[in-house]
Amino acid sequence: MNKTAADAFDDLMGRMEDLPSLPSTVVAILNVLNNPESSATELSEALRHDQSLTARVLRLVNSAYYGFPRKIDTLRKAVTILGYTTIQNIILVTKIFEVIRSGSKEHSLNRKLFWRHALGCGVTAQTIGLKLGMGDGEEIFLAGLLHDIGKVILDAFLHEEYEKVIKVSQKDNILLFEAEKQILGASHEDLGYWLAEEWNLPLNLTAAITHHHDPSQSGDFVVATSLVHVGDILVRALEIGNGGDDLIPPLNHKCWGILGLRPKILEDIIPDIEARLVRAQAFIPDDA
Amino acid sequence: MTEKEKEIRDSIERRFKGHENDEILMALKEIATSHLINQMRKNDE
Repeated sequence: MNKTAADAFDDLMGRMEDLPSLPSTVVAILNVLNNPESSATELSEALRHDQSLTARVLRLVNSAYYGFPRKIDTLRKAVTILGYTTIQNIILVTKIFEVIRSGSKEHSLNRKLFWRHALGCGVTAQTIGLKLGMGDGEEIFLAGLLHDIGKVILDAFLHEEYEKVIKVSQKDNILLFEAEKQILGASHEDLGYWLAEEWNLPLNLTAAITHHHDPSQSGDFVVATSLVHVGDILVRALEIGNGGDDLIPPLNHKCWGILGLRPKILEDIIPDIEARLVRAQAFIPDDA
Repeated sequence: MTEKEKEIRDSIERRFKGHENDEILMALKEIATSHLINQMRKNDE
């Protein structure tokens, strides 16, 4: 951000009330997960005080998305089978949904369509990555699922102003991030970056949240962010959900080239995307 | 062209407006149009 943009962003942050933070239990759990010497037992112990989180993790672990033939009934087993990164991702997603629910009950974004778009982006980016043999499937999925987190936080914690943003986007037929810059002085990518730093999210996730409209800015994470960028465009084209506007953003050709993509590859994976989308639905809580 | 097909094509046109000179996006537009029309026909059967 240049100085003017930084000033506008500071002003925006000053107008937001009740800025969301991740609960301390999550910080403790992430500390255990980030410590290479910690054990599955320590993780189970850290999670013991949060029964609803434990139940949610086990529900997701046993969902069709992972498709294990036998029920996994303890966190220790879940960590052993799925690994720390996957469990960390599930915990992050679960808690981020809780933070969003703590904001305004009034929404300008259609949440059902918004999360359908986010889920579609996660699944599409993951499917493209798997087809090309690029990126870690789980991490790419999470990056796609959370790429627009800044939008939903703005809608939840700066509701009245965000309503104006959506109206301007619809009236002037412009992308939401352009309307955000006009009305708020900063975009959902700017806010997403701030949140990702504040919540100490993994760097690849931070890059996708911050640069999904211009992945060439994402340095070491250009592949993962480019997958999310193309995933976002394809789900918009296929009308899977709605991220708040009905337009296709510009394609970054440099990043398309980095991925070595061709339109035919995307056409061929559409059935796979649809099948994965059904299985991944468990990631979105009914009251999201 | 049926009314439903026209609605799909119009909706896709609106989404891709401004990208007429981008060959890749135009190819994606054709793919999406074909997919959504096929999906509509399947749902109607």
